[in-house]
Amino acid sequence: MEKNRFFLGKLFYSCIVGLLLLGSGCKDALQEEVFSFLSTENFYKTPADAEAAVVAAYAPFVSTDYYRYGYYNLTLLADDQVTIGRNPQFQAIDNFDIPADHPFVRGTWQQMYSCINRSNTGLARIPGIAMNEELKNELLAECYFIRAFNYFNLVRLFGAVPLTTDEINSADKVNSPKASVQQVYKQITDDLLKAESALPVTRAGVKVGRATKGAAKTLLADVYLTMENWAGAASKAKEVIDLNSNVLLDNFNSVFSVSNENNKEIIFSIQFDGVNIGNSLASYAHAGGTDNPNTGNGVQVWSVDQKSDMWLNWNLNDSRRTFSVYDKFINRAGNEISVYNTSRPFPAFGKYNAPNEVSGINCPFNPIVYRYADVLLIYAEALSQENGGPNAAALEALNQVKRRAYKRNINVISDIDYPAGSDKEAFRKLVLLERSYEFVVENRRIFDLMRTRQFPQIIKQLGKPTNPTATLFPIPLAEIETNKALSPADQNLGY
Amino acid sequence: MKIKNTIVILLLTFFSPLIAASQEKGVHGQVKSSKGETIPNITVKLKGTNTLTRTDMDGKFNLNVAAAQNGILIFSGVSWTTQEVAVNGKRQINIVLQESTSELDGVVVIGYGTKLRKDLTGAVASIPPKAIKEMPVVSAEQALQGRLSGVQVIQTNSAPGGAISIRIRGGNSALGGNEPLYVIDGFPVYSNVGTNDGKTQAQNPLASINPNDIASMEVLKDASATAIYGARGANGVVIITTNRGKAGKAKLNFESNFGIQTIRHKIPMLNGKEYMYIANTRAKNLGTSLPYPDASLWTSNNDWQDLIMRDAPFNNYSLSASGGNENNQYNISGNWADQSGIVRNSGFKRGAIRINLDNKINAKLKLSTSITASKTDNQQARTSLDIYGGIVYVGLVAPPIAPIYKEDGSYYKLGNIPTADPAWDNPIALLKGYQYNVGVNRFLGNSNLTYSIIDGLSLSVRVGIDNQDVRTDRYVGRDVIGSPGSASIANSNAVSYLNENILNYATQFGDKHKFDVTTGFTFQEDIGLSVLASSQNFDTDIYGTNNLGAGSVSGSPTSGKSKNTLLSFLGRANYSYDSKYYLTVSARSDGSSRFGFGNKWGFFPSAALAWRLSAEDFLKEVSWVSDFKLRASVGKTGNQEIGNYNSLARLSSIRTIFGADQSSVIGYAMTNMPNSQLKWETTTQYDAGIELSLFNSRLSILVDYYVKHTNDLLANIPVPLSTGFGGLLVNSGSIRNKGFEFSADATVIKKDDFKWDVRANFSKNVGKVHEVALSSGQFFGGNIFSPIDASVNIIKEGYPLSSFYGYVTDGLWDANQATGSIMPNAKAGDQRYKDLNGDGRITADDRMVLGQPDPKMLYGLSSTLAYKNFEFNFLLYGAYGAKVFNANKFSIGDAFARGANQMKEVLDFWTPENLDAKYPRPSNVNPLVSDRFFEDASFLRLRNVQLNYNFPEKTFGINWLSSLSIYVSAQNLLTWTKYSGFDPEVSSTGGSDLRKGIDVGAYPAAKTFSAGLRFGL
Repeated sequence: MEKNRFFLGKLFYSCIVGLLLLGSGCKDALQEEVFSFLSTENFYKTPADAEAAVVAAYAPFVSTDYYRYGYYNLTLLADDQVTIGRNPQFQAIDNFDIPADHPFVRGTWQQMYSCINRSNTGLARIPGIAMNEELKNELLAECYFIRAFNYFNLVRLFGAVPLTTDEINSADKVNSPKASVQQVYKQITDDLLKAESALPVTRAGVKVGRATKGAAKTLLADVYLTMENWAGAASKAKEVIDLNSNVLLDNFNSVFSVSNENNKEIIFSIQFDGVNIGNSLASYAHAGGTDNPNTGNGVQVWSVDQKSDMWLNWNLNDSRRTFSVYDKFINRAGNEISVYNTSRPFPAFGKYNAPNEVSGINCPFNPIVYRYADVLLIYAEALSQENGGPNAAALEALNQVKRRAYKRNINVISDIDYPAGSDKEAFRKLVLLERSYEFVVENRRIFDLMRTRQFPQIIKQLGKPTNPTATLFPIPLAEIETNKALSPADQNLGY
Repeated sequence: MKIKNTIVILLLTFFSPLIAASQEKGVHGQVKSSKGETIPNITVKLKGTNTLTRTDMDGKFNLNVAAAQNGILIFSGVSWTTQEVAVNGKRQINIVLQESTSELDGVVVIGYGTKLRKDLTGAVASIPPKAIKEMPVVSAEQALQGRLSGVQVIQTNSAPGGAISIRIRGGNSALGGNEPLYVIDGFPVYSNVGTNDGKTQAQNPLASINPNDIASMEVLKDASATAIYGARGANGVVIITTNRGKAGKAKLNFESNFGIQTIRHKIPMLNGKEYMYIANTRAKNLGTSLPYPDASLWTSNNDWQDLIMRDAPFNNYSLSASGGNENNQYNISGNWADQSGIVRNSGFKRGAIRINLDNKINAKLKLSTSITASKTDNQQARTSLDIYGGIVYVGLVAPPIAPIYKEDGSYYKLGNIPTADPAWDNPIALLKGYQYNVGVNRFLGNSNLTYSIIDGLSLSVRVGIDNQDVRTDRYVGRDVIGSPGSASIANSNAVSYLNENILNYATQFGDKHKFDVTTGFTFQEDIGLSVLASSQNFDTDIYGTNNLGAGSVSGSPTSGKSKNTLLSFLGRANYSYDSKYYLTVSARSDGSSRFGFGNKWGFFPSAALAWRLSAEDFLKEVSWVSDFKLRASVGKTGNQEIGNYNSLARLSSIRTIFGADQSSVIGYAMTNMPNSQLKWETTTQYDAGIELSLFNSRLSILVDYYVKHTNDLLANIPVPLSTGFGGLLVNSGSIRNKGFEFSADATVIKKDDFKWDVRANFSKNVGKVHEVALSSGQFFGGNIFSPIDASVNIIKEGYPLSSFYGYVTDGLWDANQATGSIMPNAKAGDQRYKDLNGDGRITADDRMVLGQPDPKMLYGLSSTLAYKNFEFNFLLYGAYGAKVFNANKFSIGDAFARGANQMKEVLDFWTPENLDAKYPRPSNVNPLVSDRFFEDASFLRLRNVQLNYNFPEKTFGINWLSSLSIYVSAQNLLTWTKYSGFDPEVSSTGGSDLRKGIDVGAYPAAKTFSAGLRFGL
């Protein structure tokens, strides 16, 4: 007994010695001290914090799985204009025979929701911050814009999806049930109506590249067009036109110049600088590896599908054709090289050029989300649909886009104009054809095919071994497996 | 060791009055070795009593007890064979002790203490000190290779300084790390080998230690041995003890060895003509124009393997001095090692100094200090996972017809070869253009102050620091594809502070009850700092990383700091009865800052029983049984390698671009989902063992069977992706390992001038994923880079961790089978795959488990033959049942699908005349990840063979030379394997990665020939 007490005493003593030597108490020592990051407890207090929360909501756009290239891999390869001659993982997308656990689908889905959750964080936290009300409303409007933008992408690619409008910040809030397509669209239009009213018309200085009133209206026009709310789409497009913030540049090629980014035609694009954050658009679009002077390394992940209408029937006088697709290029040594003599014998895409790019991941080009040509074509299509056929305004909007492509004066009636007199359906076909030339590798084609119900039949007709029943992309298997509010029955048809 | 010395000194202190009391009665004498050297510190005990003494510096003893003159004296000491001598009334006894070959008498270092091997209750394997010397190695862990059952030493990368990963009784963890805890001279060091980040190779955690300094290495395997290390014990513990000084004559030892390394196995590749032939054949098959219509235009015929590799020298010098008196002992050593790599522009250098001091301050206080200071420089060749950038990969795929230089002296671009991938670098341009150097300054030191409170009770206070400054310089020159000249310098500082306060108490009740207790409180804190600066767009390559300001574009600087703390209470009690029955219980309570708020403290108990049958009466008389012990243990250990801060809600800075001038803007968002319940992984291990020693310890056999259940696996479970988060770190899932270990040591011949020892070991481990956190019961191990772009490892319930997964080949298509079949686009001569699920097409569902990356069985055999002054030894070891995913072959054995140079054997490709070919017809059809690329990596290897000659004493008439020997040796001289790549012992992904057993342009293994010289004064 005596010994025991002695023993415990010594144990205590040794503990004390240890503590004295290191000068810290048992309890405090196990609190994790943080140095290189912030914790949620001490944030969201100042206007700068509000700003930082909104910036973070934009940040997933520049991630690998989104505009850096991942989202394009999904939407371009699946359409009828783009193909890849190798690599089963990419070919699964190209063939639209996509396993539900495909990493590209999973990655893109997650980044879209990352934007959404950070917007939700902004919407939940910013109202409590004491700051200039106008700026506060503008920041909140950006959150609404980003949220709507991403739900629009989701609902088009995946149909009914989980709809969350609350900040998710702990493990007990992670399971969200699917909302119907109608509910998702309701949320999108509600958000955009709020966004368009509070966003500024123009951006200057450090805020160039962030959402504007025109961006919100264009997005809303596109949403209405997709919902086949023709009147809504036409009027929103008209509102953008009437903002007079944007024009068609005279020269099609200069819209895509890396020395002329954020030009007057651009309504909304994703900002890359090529140094700190670059993308792979030039690398993935071009042929010829390091020998191609328009990219650091043309690896041609996106090749022209030589069976596509765009490749077979595109008028050679259309200036967009020679700029957008090619099967010969001038290499760095100045020699003409045929793509058919390279290790990847497919025609390539020429739209994205990054002549100073140092490698295949340093393209500084800002991927274009919306530009003025899109507004004109949305306006043309929606107006014609609304009125049961094209009126003069609809026809003029369509022809302006075509005139620019054929190097005619944009505002003067020309020899290559589409004539008046088409009926509604024929006119819509013309608009869609024009869109298919105007927006090659700009991520518009797949959505045009989907909203006009040509997808995936059109790629089946090209002979691709397409998933026999699917019409939408698969909801990522990981979502179905982990989201307790979902069951395998929530998977899209065909998966 | 230290504690043993403490006891010795304490005992000496206690008995010195007795010694002084009388010189008249009793027995005195001197103890010498067979070489005639006097031996201090030998216990001389009068049998059947507690009377004992020790020999002094001159090997002399004096047992001042009259009874001794008629008794029997027992002479015993560490590493000496115990000897009994009947005094028979003599006053003086001079004896010669033999060096012990039996480990039973040896002291084994265990967690927070030492034990005699015969008294062990847990599974502890020791490397015989001699074995460490048998093979000249630059890195210490290599000495463990093939020597111990249940210990797998994985050479993840054969590069000099490359990481070695160790698995003790199989891997327990999916994410939490599987490396053992290292305890270096009492200082616990967790060495996360890390994963290959795609650009650099993983580091070797023990690179700073000179193997020549190592006195012993013990591997603690079962829970009884490891539970005292609590939340860090689950993967086993490797205890490394360095040489300490001994009282006596000062000694100086010098060793030098030098050698040459050459590539062990070169992969036979096509020459220029054959390359053009297969390229033209592909063009004919595809109906395109011939890329090489006139072969005479292509005059180059380079063997790129020869061009990037070389015969590389290495040398290693060690000098140590040791000695001291009764109160102060020292052992000081210096080491210089310089190893060039067989891939040009790679190598490893180490300069190290170690100082071990033992000082008796007074009768009650003893200080034991161990300090290592080292500088290592590791120049790394680029062997990254991102294989397009890897030098070994590019050296294989580069067409032989490509010249190195153009006529103007600049590098020839491989893209100018019609069939080459333009993304491939010119191998020589890459070799010279990529400079990567990791310099590490390390100071590892600790002092242990032992205070003897009363007889049998002592307190040890240890304080220590492990400080590592790592500077990584990386420059990618302008001749490397895509590089404008880019330089970066990363500096990091990792420091670990240690304080341990251990109380030891040992006592004996009567003659038979022995009892000892170890208890204590420990504190360890790790702080990491890092800073990175970079710039690019240089006008010239001459600066390398030495002038960041010369780059016209500077990268964003980054810095970081992190900290974690471990507080622990530990205790262990041993009880033994009459050296027959043993009981050990231990427990540790660990509090870790890494764990969630609700789970800071973990409790890790263990218990073990041992029964020494040989001490029972019924076996005592059986003279051929020297020792026979049965033991069993159970216990819990943990794995706290979950990373810092994973339980907290973290807001991270996130960079994006905005503004008219496109500048960086920083936002803040929560980037992980917090989990306040996060805790350690728990392994419950059951172990049963038999230790048998026969024929006067000439044959020892050790058998163990164990079962390990690891639960609460750290898993990054996907939360619904619709949260925007990638996953949530939770404790979920389990892994089971069970296995069998056998080892036998035999002294086959033991004569004065002829000795033959044989040591063999065998182990079998069956590891299975028991439960994963997902309802699907499986997930994939992460993609491998292009051109594979797929995952080859699967973590699947019921299968070994990171099993291989892929399609199954089914021969080649012949002329008519393809149409209307499961592969409608296939042509005759294309690879055919099995439609496993029978749905009429080949889809991702037609994949299956195709093997495991970990061997099913490991075995080793080593032997030493000593004849007169010659000694010959060898080490053979092997592994059975593992496969390797040969990612190189995906390019160099793809039947020219992507224009890479091919292995010679690909010439056996399908043609209408060669229907049963091994390879498909050359075409542009990419292979799938199939059984074709998962190769049997079983091997048997003659790891080491050495011939040593000890010069007789006083050779050349030099009296001051106490020993002199020379040796020649060879490593990896012979390897038997079916693996077609460079080496079957490979894992490009490094240590803790779910992608395993992958050979992606890994650094090739070398064959080494060396010679060495040792002498002592």
